[in-house]
Amino acid sequence: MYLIKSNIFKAISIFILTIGVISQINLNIDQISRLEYWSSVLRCPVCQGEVISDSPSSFASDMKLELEQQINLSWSDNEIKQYWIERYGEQIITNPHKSNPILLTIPISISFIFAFVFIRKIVDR
Amino acid sequence: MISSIGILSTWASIIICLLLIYHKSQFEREVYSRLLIFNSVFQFLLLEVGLLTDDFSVAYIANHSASSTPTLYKFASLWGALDGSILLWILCLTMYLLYQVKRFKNNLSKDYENKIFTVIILFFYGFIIFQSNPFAGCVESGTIGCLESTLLPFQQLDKASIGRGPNPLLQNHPLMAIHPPLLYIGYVGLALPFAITLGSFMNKKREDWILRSREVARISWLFLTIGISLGAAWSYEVLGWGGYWAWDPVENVSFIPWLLCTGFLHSSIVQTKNNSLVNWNYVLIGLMFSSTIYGTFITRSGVLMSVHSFSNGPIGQYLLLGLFISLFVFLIMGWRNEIYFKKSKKIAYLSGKFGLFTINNILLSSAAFIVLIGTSYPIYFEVVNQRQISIGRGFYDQLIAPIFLLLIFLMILGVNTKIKSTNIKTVFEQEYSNLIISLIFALILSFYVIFKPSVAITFILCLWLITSIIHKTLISFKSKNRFSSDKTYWSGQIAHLGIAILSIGIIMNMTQSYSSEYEIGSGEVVYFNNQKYNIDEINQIEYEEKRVLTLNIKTDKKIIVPAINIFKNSFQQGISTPGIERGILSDTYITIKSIEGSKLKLIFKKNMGIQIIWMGLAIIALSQIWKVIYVFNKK
Repeated sequence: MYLIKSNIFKAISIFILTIGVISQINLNIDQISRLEYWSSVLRCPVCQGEVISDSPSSFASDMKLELEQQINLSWSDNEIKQYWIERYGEQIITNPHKSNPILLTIPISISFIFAFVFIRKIVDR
Repeated sequence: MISSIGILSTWASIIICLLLIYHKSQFEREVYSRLLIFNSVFQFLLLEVGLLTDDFSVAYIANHSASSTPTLYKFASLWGALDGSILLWILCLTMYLLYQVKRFKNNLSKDYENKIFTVIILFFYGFIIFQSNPFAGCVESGTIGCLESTLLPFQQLDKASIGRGPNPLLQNHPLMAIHPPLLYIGYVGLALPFAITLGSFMNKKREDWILRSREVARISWLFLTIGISLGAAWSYEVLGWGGYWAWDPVENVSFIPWLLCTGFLHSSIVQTKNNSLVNWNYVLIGLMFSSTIYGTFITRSGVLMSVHSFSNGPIGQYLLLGLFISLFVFLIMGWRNEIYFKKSKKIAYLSGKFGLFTINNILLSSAAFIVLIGTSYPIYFEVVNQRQISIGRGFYDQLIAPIFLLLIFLMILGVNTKIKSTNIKTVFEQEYSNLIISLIFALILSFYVIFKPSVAITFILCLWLITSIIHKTLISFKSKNRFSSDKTYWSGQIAHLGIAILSIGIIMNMTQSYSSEYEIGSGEVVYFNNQKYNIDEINQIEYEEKRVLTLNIKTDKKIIVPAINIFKNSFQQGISTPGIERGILSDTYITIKSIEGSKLKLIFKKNMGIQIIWMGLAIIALSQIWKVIYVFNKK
């Protein structure tokens, strides 16, 4: 009962409520287009590590046109991904963590173990 | 002539380093240190003279400068490629040697520190002497530049007739003359805390290693911050893609030491005030130094593809060897001082300021670890699987963003948390009104800004932090002595204010920016973001080293001039320099994508929050300049 009356509880509730309200206000505008998404994922193979949305090169521009056609033809994400990997190899995709969860789980779990051990060793209980 | 004098001078430096390592008296140490510093300044100036006078008998100058290169970029060519950049690296190291000699004059463990630091300098001179001396003479010139060089002095040299000139990207903006040296000063400086700590532990004089390490680390941190910020500005002004940070491997390796050093600046306070985290600070200093060597390995060995990496030489193995030796020695020294570390006190409360600093260190080092994994994993994946992969922005955004949100939350708690123990409930009571104010602001903003839940959380947390700091400042104004009593606290709070402003800028830029592409002819009109842009004719300006195509784009108030620079020494297509109309909330950023006959392809971008980002970074840097000046005046 005390918890419900406390300011901490009120603050957290208002915090969550506000985020909910704010998100609702903009719900419809917030859809990122598939073209934008894939342009920020595919790397431009002739540029130095830039994705095609960032690269001002004409090669990236051609890639983007091809991508646009694929999206207009309603290719699935998997089809798009396979097409580009077959052509340019795995390094064309800059988000390998989407298909390889180890890439996410290893750093997260090591960070958690580190935090746990650190606090156990350092903090007096 | 410059080649022979330079080679002899680098040899002399090796001898001075050895004399300094085996010196017998304090007098000898002072003399040799000064000689070494003098010699490295001399080498720097000598190579600059060679660059400015187009001495193409020096292979480095023939391959990385040209007669047509403008003076400023000739000067900056010194750090435009591997050999010269190592010379700049050594110059920075010797500047820190000078700092050590002058500042810590009467310190008991200085002798060992001096020796260890000299070994680090010797390590880099060794690379210059045996692998790639920037003074190497050209013995076989090609049609352009030099093909064969010699590491020996007084050889018959073949002067190249035309220099290759620097990489076009490096001669496209004056920031290139400032960003690398400042970044180097920060990056290289982390070697000195390593030497101070190792020296103190070797000599068993461990009274003030943490204070002196922190003093140097703060200077390093300041220069790293300024260097990284200027790099971001360069990227925005030159590369034409409208961004400032791409999680490029080379950006990452400057970010890793920055994260660790930020952690150290906090955790060292816990040691000086409470004698806690002693062993962690020792480890952190080792990690800070190793991360700079590892970063150099990534940048200079050519193992990764990046807009920055420019070498494929043998320095990779050499640096890895150095990294392993230094880590080994550091670990052995830690192990030998085990009893000293056992005296480190535990932290009583996780909710006090020391507890917050501890959590802050966990978060910052986890962030550094994640960036390290993201940067290194592709290398090791390729070695094991013989296939290449690349890790991009998505990975970092997903993992680093939550850590930064937690850090901002800690900063909010930090505004009112007392040193040793604080009731977290009391802090929340104090913060309640600030939170409400920030929520009201966020609600008003949500009608103007597109909010996803993640964006909303970032905005609210940043606004909350800003409100808390302003509130605290207002309270402190009433009690007159508050500001003068604790400058450390206030410099920290100003830096945190800068981080809140920076984060707002970043999140605005990431989520609210948009762009359009137009194919258009001269004399036509573009409507972008309800604004009319009149496209003029293309103008062509001929310079000695490049051809510049500029385009005047007129609005009601202003003329925006994007350009394409075509460098004569490069086979690359032209480099597009953006035309920018700056505004407090958003920039209009126009780049020419291509010119085909009378048809132009233009990219119009609305880049949100860029000026807010620069403002945040400037506040962070200024707060620490204030702090450094304060520390120096205090002693």
